[in-house]
Amino acid sequence: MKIECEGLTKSYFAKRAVDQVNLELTGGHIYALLGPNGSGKSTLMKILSGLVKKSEGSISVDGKQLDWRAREDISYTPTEPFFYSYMKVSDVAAYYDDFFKDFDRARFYDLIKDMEISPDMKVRSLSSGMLAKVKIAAAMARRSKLILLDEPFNGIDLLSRDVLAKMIIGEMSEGSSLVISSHMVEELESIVDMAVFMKNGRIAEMCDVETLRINENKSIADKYREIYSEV
Amino acid sequence: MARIMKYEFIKNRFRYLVMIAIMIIVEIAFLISNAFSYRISTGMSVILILAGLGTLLIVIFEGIAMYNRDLREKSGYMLFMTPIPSWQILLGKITVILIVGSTLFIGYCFLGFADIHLIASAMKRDDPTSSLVPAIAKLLDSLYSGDTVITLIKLLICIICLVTYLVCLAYLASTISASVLRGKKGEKLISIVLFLALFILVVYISSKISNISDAVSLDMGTNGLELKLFENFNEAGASIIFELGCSAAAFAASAYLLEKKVDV
Amino acid sequence: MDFTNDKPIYLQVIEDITSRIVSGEITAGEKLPSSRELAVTYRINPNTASRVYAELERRGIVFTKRGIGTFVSDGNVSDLKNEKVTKAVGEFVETMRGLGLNDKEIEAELSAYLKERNQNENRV
Repeated sequence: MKIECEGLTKSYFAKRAVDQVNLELTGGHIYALLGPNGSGKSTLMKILSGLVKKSEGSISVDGKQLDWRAREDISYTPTEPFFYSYMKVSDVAAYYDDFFKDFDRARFYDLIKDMEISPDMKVRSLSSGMLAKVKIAAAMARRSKLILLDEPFNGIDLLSRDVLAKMIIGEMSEGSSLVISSHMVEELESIVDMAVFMKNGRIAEMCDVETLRINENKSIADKYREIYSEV
Repeated sequence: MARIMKYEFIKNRFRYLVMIAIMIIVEIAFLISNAFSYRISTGMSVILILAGLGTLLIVIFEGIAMYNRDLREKSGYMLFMTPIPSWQILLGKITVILIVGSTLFIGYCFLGFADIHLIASAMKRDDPTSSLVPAIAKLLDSLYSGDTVITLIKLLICIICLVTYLVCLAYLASTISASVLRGKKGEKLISIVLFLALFILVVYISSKISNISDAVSLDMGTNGLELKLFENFNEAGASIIFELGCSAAAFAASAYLLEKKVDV
Repeated sequence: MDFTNDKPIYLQVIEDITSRIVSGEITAGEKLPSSRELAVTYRINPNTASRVYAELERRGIVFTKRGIGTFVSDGNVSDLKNEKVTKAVGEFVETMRGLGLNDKEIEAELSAYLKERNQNENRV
């Protein structure tokens, strides 16, 4: 699995939310997409998911141009609640099953079974921690080539975050890639193996987590401070 | 596309159920009132037919409003993250509006006219001297003067044509303003203005193509009330083709913009 | 497990596993969790987990039987223990040197500390 972005740009009137981004994502990695608000992380993710359309540049998925067909292989989970308000947990499973060939309903229920979440519960009555689990379980129960998680840990309690982290680590498919954007840099430190730093719509740096530690004795958090502190 | 349609139904099922419930309630009201006053029950049947029209307009309006919400709010994520091309999404939505709108409209009108029949035959029996009897009889006669089936087909074609171009134009106006004015003030206002402009344009050109103002006419003829339906229908053919053509163009433009230019 | 920021994560996991082997928590010949299970338990990236086992295997501490699993090698415990002891002593000495003590002073401090500790333990 290979995603290649070349000169990717998204302009909103005068502003460039994503500015000439060149990025290559390969299978078998978990990427952290890092940067302060407004750095372009969310926009970049939404472009990869097809929800936001690029202004310039090219994106290819395994050599093919990114279009609606790519949504078979790319899964995007927004930060906010996004399921239809009438839905119960079972309805969510049915919806994903209807539209995504790679969705495994049994696996989904297996992932949420130990969490006091019953299929009959309405999604709008779930706590934020429970909803996050349902969202991530639905994403991981698909065997997408690329899984995009947009700030999945926002507003989630510590124990739930641990559960989510284990779900992500445990359910990653061989050859797939996962991109997590988050403000919680320390939380991601051990989970990811590649870190992508965005600044003002551009990629400031991309590095391998262990290599960073070996060569520069720095953690991702250290690197983050280095890149974003106003000097 | 069937999956899209399925979920469009499900998303709206409560509203549709309410509309069916109203139909049943009014019909029951008719049957009850028929037992003691023909004036009231005639009123009920007229309400049914008007309600049919109202329901159709509500279904159209709701369909357009839902599309707007899908474009601008989080509810759109579920829809647009599916691996379905934009044209199929739009077509699915339009089809559901057509099917539900037409079915409800026909349902209401059928009940309404059936009720008028009931009144007519009951009145002939119970109160033959009432002035309403010949009036209604004349109305029904003129209705059936041609071939009923053909008339109904003409009616259906007109409804489909109207609904289609209303919805397609509205979708186009919505999509254009979403692609160009994303998040700016006045986005909604612009889409309404745009829709009205397109609508007036289409209706104007359409009326110039053929004169269909006499499609439905209710005259006080020499023998009382006369209802003529679609006597000039064949002349309207060109208009209908034009309107459907506009619908297709609006649909294609919306699908293109949705696929390439619109951020959800 | 809480990771420090200055060392590679895979090395920290290796430290933890070898400590457990030395302490007897993990016995020789015991089957270790799969790479994926290791990743989940330690909350680390699956590639990092693979790297842990690869390095342990390179050092001869574990061996892998394809399709069955990864096992702790026999006869390593005393070597590992010696390694750890040497390392701990080395770190201690470096710290003391950094504080400005010479070898004699280091030995004196060490004896005094051990003596006092023994006395405290006997009292209890």
